[in-house]
Amino acid sequence: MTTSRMSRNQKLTPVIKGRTIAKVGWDGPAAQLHFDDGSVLRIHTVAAPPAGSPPATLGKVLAVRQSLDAIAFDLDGSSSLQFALAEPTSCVMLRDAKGVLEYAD
Amino acid sequence: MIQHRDSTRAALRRTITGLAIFGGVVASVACERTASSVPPPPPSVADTVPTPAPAPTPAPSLVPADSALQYPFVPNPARTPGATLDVTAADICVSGYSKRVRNVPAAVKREAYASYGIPSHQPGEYEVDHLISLELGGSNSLKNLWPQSFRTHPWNAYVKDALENELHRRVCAGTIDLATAQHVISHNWVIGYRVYVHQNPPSSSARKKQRSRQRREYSPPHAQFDSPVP
Repeated sequence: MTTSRMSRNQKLTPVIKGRTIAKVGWDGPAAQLHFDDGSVLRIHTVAAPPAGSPPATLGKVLAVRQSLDAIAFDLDGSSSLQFALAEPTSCVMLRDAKGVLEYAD
Repeated sequence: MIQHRDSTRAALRRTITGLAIFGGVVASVACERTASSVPPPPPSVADTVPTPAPAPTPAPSLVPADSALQYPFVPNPARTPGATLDVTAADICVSGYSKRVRNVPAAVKREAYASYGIPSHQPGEYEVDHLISLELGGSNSLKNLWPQSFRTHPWNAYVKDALENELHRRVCAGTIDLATAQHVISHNWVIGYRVYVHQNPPSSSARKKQRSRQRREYSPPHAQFDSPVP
């Protein structure tokens, strides 16, 4: 991952800043971040984590950083949740609790 | 005259269907649907114009000259088959939809130029166009991006904008389904223009007037972390 070249995602950050990641689920290689307000962020990753991997870090989102091959969520408590993207674009979609599209890439 | 126009539209529709079958390009699917997965348009909803009976005489030359079916007028289907996001008409017909879609990263734009062998260009010469426009659910995938010229004549980026707007209007009016619109614009937008907008492209002066009006009405999206590349 090119984490050193990550830049703040100026469009997604203000949308989800302050929301808390309550759960991370997987649908094949697609990660699903469930927020406390019922919204769901779907991320197409390179691959699902192998069985037995430690559970993903949860917490309140402070910022989103992204490069061509990875996306990272900076959480409170100085922790971070990072995913390798399947493609540089078109891998992230956020819908609110009612299914209304909030963000797409 | 009307009968002639109807037979022309019917023949163009047949041409689109033929090209769709012939031009299906299989591309790998990662994050979004490629245009090849978009179902072909059902003949009954391809247009609001009623389908007339077959014309008794052969239609005049309907398809543009061969040169208009190739780059730089239309993208190379092997490089740019088109790709869509997993969205519905209900998503795209909401005001401000395209502002919710991330801007194309500058690095991806550079890759689009490179894939078409364009190492450099003048300001205002090209734009990196979404073959299936954002307003029709197109994605930012490289499979949906191509350098489209503003300067080619008669088919160029200004003219394609008119088709994009017309297809979006029809999708949101419910007179054409989203998959059909995506299919039309991804398989040959020039033919799509002639079917859904006008048989001939607008004159240069009309295009400039329309574009300047669009620019005045356009409000730029929020700043992105990507540096601007035209």
